[in-house]
Amino acid sequence: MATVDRFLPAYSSSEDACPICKSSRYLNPNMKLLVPPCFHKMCEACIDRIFSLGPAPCPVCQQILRKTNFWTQKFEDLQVERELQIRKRIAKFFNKRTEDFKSLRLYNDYLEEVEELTFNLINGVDVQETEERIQRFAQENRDLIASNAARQQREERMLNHRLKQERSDKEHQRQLYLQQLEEEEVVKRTQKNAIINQLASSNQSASEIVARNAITLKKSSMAPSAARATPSSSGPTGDWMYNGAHLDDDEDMDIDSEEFDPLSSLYCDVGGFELKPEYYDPMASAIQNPQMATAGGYLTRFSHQRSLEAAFTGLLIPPLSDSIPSPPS
Amino acid sequence: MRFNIDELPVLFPYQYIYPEQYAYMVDLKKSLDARGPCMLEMPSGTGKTISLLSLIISYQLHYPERRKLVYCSRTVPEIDKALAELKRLMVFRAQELGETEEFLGLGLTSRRNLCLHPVVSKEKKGRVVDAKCRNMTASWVRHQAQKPGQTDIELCNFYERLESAGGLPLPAGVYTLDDLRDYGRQHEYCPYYLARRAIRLANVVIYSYHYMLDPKVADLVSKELSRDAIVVFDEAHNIDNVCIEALSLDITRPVLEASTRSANLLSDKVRQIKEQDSEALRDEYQRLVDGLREAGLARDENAVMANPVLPDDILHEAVPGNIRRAEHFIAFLKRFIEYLKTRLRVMHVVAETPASFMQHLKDITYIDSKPLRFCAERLSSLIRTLELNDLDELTALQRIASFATLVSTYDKGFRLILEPFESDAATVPNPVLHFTCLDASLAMQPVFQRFGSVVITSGTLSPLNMYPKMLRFQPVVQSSFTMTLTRNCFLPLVVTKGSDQVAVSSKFEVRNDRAVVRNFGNMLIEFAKTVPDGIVAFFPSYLYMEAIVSMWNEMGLIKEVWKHKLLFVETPDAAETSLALENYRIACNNGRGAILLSVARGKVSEGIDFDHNYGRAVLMFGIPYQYTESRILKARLEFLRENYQIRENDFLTFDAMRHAAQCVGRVLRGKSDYGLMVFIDKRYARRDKRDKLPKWIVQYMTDATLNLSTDMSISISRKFLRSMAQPFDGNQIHTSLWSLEDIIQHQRAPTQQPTVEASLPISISSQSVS
Repeated sequence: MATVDRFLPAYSSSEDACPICKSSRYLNPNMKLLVPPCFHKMCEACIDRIFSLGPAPCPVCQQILRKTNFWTQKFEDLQVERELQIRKRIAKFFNKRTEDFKSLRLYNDYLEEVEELTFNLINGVDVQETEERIQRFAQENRDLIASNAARQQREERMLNHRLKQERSDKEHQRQLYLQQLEEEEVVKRTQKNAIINQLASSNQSASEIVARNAITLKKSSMAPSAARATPSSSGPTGDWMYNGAHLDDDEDMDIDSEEFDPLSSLYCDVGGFELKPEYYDPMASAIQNPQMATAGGYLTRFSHQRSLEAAFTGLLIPPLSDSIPSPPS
Repeated sequence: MRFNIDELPVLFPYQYIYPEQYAYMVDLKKSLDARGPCMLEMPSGTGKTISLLSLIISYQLHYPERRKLVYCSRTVPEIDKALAELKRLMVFRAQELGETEEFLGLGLTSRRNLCLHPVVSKEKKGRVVDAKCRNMTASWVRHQAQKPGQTDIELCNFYERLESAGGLPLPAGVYTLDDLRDYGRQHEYCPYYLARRAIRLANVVIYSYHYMLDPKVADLVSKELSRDAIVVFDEAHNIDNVCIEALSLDITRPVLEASTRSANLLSDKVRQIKEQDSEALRDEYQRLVDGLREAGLARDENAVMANPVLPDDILHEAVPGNIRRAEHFIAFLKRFIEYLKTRLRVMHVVAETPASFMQHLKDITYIDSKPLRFCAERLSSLIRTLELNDLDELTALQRIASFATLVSTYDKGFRLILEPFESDAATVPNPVLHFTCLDASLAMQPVFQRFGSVVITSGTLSPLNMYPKMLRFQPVVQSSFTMTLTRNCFLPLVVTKGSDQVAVSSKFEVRNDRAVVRNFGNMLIEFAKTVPDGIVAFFPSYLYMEAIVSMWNEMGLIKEVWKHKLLFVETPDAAETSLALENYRIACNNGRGAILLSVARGKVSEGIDFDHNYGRAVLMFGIPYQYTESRILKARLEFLRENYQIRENDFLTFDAMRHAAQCVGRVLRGKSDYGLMVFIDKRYARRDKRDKLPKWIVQYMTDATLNLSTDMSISISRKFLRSMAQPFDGNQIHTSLWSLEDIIQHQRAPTQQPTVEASLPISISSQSVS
């Protein structure tokens, strides 16, 4: 608990008083009370005085304490502070998960047992026996504990990563949004200026210019709104990764794929020509370094084929017969 | 009158019908047939409630399914008004059909409004009444009282009578709240529980929004409503805020202190019970082990505990093992409370997502999300087991428990905001942890999922495409109706500059500018001179109103106003305001004339009508934007932008304009009424603002009235008022009042539809007025 946490400020109250030197918050507003493992708070000055020469007994309970073992109080209730220490220790051993049990019922029983052990430690009931049970458990499940601990760490890292990612994504989106707003503002201003300039310089009637520009303005104000309507595909990142599965069971897509028959379409293979290995093609030979082009998958043959296809498309297809009603023009 | 819409015979309790009422009914019927949600906007004062009721009742009684109508309204007076309308309608139906139909309609409101108990009903606070009532009616209390030798336990006589009567001792009919109380008094039945019991059987239930939307209450009251019920939200323009409030909560230091106390009390009680007889606890433990949720069992009367929406999979799972034992659970709660206390000591503003909160909580206190999710459920079970009476003391703890459940259940759509200081200037910390819901659709979704027909209606729903986006639903019918008028009985004016041509605005930069304030004041004086009887003036906020009024006072403008009319001011205090209103009415009635200064989001702007001489003009000073520096609002705007592609400015403008429209709509309560609607701010002249006003108002905004100065607006108003004050021959028939023949004629030739421009949901974007 030595780490500084900006969400967990140290606890202090106006009634604080050091039980050793009897100094109080009223006399010494900057007094800092620290907590040792035996939970007998004392002020920094006393700690310096008593423990600077090495380990010494606590003035209250005589337990041997070291200066480095003192920590700042976080919670108002010292009981909770103590409880959390115990929990920290317990959590190290008892880290089984739901997956490690055959049924939820068993898992819940296990949870209760753990809670019971913790409770015993906290309330000082059968400490000896409890400690033994904990030791036994740790012995029996050493491998599982280790692997679960590793897994837990991994998950925590993942979660932290995700949270960070989300935050940066959000920041990015906000930037984009602000940028977009700014751009729109700029466009609006330039358009306005353009109208004013036009009004100033041209000799058309003013109403005509305004009317014409009103139409273009309206159009341009529609355009960004249309772009806005389609939700940005970059949405919350990662979301599509988790929900990828459900994209497949989109009903509309199923219907579409059922009805679509590639053979029934009006398009047919373009034939009637033969692709020769070589053509006279100044454009293709203009490519400086053929290796660079082929590395990207480009072959001059493709462009030849494409232009031939374009030329022959529809050339050899007979016109529609009269039995098929011609579409209304 | 009696007419058919398609094949459905409709009985309408008046001789004539407004064309828009007819169109409204047609659209409403369409949506009922389609069993989908619909959104209908109809101007205030055109008989929305009666059209709704008469169509739905006709629909209900014509078809064999007898779909129940659940009508949600906002305030108790509105509930009472709707019930009175319903009563009148049923009397008319009985006359028309020659027989009384088997029909039960009633309203439900809080215990405070219904209680008859001689002691309890004297209490003023709703919460106290609830607690005292529970202390006398809880099943274990009654159980104990029946034991021989127990004489000092007091029970409620009214409730006991009702219990011993069994079933539902309420004959068919329509009961207003007063009727219900009278009936209860007569037969010595408790009206509150009578109504609760009757909900299941009634054809029509009228109650407040919260019974439907607040998951804590809805679970108790509305859970058993059948799927095919028709749910109506009247005056629904604020529905998104109601939804959000239902799921948001604030945690302060006193709440945490109180919950620590309650937790200690619980642990004492547990210890005590353990010593005496641990059977109850063992029973409970066994139940929890077996994963039996006593849902339907003890739920009915005793379960008063919070129960925020939970995903179903959690409801069917057993409580996690580490909070199964009562003492474990209490220690768990204490740990959580201590953690929150520590968090509240942070001296800087923190805004975080539930996910990061949970992560930190787990790191520090080893509290997992799963047991946290069961907190509310587990607490209610414990309280039931311990048979605790004074639940009043436990409200703080309950709040913490529901917070625990919500924060661990929802990953998205919520935000935790810690504000250590009340205002930026404050030096003494008064930390508040706001747990705010950002997504209005969360509370609304269960309603849409459960009930097919959900009708959302109000006088101001424009722009109509905003609500489906925010509440995530796809309306099957979505229309905005305008008023048909034989004379233009209201006149919207947009005043953009004072008589000295200085533009007026409540924009932040200029709002305290003396020139602007003086122009505002001069306008008030001029209108006070011109307009007879009552004037209502609205300001964007209390703060701004106070500032302006004090400046007017310095400038001597107030004295000038006093020469013409009396001044009354709305304050945040409800009692003071109602006194001001009463005197305002007196001044309007006796011809002295009065001005009421009020605030756009206050009580006056929402529920109170200024019909006829009570309001001949509404002045809207400035645009009632929300306080944009509020962190909660900022978080919500961000959420809306990211998830629903609603721009911040769009939402703010939309919100401001709906409140402006709501204020301005107060002036007109029917077609024989008339009044001025004056928008005073240069920004109202802009198109993007006007587009967000309801169509029935925009329709009458002409270019000539869009950009006025004070003197121009006064001369126009003078003309308008003079023409309106002429005796009105009232010959509206065939144009804005239809008789039966008109309807039949209209049905034969449906081509000419002058009043309605219904738009199908597909063409949502084409809302602009042609």
